Amino acid sequence: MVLYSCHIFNRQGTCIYHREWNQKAKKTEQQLEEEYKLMYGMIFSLKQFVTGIAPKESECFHSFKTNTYKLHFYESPTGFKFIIITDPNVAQLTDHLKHIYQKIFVEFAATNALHKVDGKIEGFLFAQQLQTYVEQWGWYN
Amino acid sequence: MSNIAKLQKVGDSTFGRIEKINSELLTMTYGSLVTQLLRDFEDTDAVNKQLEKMGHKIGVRLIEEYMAKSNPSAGSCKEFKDTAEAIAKVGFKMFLGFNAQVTSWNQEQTQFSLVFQENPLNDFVELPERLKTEGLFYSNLLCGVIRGALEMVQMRVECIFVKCPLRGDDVSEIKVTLIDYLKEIVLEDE
Amino acid sequence: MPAAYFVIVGKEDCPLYELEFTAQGRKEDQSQLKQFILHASLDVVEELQWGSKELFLKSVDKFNNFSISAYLTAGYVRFLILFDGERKSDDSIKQFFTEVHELWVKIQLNPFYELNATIDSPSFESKIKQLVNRYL
Repeated sequence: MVLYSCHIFNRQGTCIYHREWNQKAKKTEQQLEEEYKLMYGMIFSLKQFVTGIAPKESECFHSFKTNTYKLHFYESPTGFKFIIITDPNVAQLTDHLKHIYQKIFVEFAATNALHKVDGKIEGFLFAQQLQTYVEQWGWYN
Repeated sequence: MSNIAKLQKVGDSTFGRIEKINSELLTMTYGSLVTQLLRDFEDTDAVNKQLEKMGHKIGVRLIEEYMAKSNPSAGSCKEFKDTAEAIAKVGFKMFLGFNAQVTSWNQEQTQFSLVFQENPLNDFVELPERLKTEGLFYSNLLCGVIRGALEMVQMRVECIFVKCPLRGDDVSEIKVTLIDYLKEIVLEDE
Repeated sequence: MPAAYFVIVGKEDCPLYELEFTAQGRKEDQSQLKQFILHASLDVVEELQWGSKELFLKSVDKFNNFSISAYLTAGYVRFLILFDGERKSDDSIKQFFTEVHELWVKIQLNPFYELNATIDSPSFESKIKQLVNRYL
């Protein structure tokens, strides 16, 4: 079981944080930009589709998986989208994503006065806290 | 009614959990902020506007704290009515330490008033007559906070102070009007 | 109520607040004289302040049938009261000063009050008058 990447999108669909683990090929800036756009578009449509076909009012989707990876998704009530990609054997990560939102994003980005509300997360503390948190999972690499 | 009681409970327990600061520190900081603004702008209306703007900046961040700390799933807001109670019973309690009453709904259920007696920002403050007649709303920051916070959860509202004890009213009253719900933004392809 | 003159003197020796009250039915025209005596007593207060650990200095000065009591705050603001003729017991004067001190602290906490400015708050005035009625 391994962790591949973590993305955070703001309400405008811009990627405000991205980090990769256990991936060999380095992507160019352009490839990354393309990836962000595709990912946000996919998440957005999938979300609409999922809530659209739901027989009764329901929450959004939590994850989907392919042969090679699993994508976990959590959206904060304020519209920030947290996405983590792992290998397909990992169990549901919803609680962990919630923790990342509540204890790391809110404490070290959102309430940091130097962080712009919809801006990129540049603070060193956020990255550090996230790293410590994923290391606790034991299986991250 | 039970929904209100539930929210009250959420408010109380969250209040018990979160960090607190000395209220005099807050009062004095806010006081010097307002007086400095008055000195810098020399115009009461402009100061009201500035306070509201500052509040807005606070609100857009504070909502994250609210969502993260209060576990709102216990009382998620389906209607504007729920939102009003959540602000009054959870939001006010969490950040100011007291509850507000929700009153004066209009017929379309898009406008309500938040009424409260206490206000730690007002402690020790006595407005000079000049500022009373010029219409300073000392705690106008709160209006901005509510507007900013609701904007982050897809609600555009207008908030105005209508009553303030510093101007001789018996209670504080903030009128909140829903303008519209914001749609989720779709990324445009260039 | 005895005839008296109460004054709050700021750090720079300027009066911040004055209140004169007279015995009922008597016309007074000695305000200047009283101010003069009070001003003179500031020197005595300055001398006495180092000799006491208390904020309340009891009776500090006498002139004819005027007697003056003083109280110091830690920020070196002085409360002085001058009695014309009969004076109240030290205990009630002390209580009066202690409560004035509390009001004074609240005035200072008001962000719209500038340090060392005269106090023109109507609510302060009415509260002082209440205290005068209660203790003096």
